[in-house]
Amino acid sequence: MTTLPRGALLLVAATVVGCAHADTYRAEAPYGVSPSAPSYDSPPEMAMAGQSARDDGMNARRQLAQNMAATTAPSSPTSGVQPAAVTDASASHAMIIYTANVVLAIYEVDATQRRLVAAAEAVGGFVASLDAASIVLRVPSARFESFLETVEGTGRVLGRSIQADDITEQFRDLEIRLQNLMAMRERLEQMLARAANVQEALAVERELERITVELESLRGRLRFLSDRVSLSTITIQFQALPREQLTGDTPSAPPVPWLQSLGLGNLLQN
Amino acid sequence: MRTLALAALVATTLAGCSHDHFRVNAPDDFLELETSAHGPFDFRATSADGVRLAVREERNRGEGSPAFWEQAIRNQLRYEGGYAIQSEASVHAASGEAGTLFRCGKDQHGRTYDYWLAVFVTDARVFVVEAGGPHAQFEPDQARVETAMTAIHID
Repeated sequence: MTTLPRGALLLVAATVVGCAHADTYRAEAPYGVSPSAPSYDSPPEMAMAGQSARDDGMNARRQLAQNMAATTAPSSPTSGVQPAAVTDASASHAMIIYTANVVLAIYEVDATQRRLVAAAEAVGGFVASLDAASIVLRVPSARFESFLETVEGTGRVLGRSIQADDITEQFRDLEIRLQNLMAMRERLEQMLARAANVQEALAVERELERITVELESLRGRLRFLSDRVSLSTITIQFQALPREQLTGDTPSAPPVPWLQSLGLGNLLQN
Repeated sequence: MRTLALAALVATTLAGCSHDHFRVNAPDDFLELETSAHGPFDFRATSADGVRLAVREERNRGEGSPAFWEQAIRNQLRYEGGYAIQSEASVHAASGEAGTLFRCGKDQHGRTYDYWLAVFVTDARVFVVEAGGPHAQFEPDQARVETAMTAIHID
């Protein structure tokens, strides 16, 4: 077996990355979605670019409904020619991250928070964070719009913004990078098996380590994006409305004023 | 002349005291008192011992049911007036309307008072008949007072 210099080894590796085609992936399940036990290793992305849309009344809601239908419904066989090699679910579905921010004026923050938590759990969602003035809920994307209506029904809506970020391209790019790296790793492993000496083996191993770190990073990023797509994020901020305070000695009014004059006080008066 | 005056008194007593929508007869030895245009009562009478009988007529705006008025009065007496409702009884006015008689008591400044209230409800009006006084004076008159309270004739 001939010994390859380290520079040649890197050149081969780079060529593998550069030339790998999308149809080479699906070697293994690259990521998984676990809504019940989400792990966030990076802060939520609130990208404003691309197809993000600010809610501006009914049109935005209609657009949202259309987007959601596109996200959740499989593409029709007659809707167009699918690239034969692309078989991943992300290729046939739009990958859209829905986020909403709602500012609600309510009388009782605690009671409203409890109601919203129960409503989120009832649709398969959960609480991402909660404090005295706000709550962040994650709900399945398919229930995003109906849940938003539930939220808005619990108080007076002072402000609202809805954002739909289409990450289909970004997701596909990441998947391709992942598959290319996996192919590269496989080749490096083959090269490692054929390494003629320790020096060559060490060089291949270093490259393998770098590829492995990058693979894990990509997988984490894909998991994160998948989670963001499958579960929408709704942030609700509360503004407590002042409730009339009744003191202990505030008289309770009878249904009609004349009832107050019942009793011996008036009866026995001269 | 004396005979004529006596006849007039008897006639007045028999006819009772007539008001816009009710007529009422106080017990024989009660004296009818003047009512103020701004006061709560449409009829007032008193015994020599200070037992009082009074009737008020109120519009039944919204056509509240008898149950509504009974509960409203019950709440007012119990929670606002501080009366102990000793009993409640179904009664009928002389003109046939069903009503409720509340028999209440109250202790104040070391004295015990009785306060009875009967309520009769029609679609248009609420008639409240009240009677009360110190227990020592009221107790001997109880039967006559109850008779007078339910002798109201609603037109």
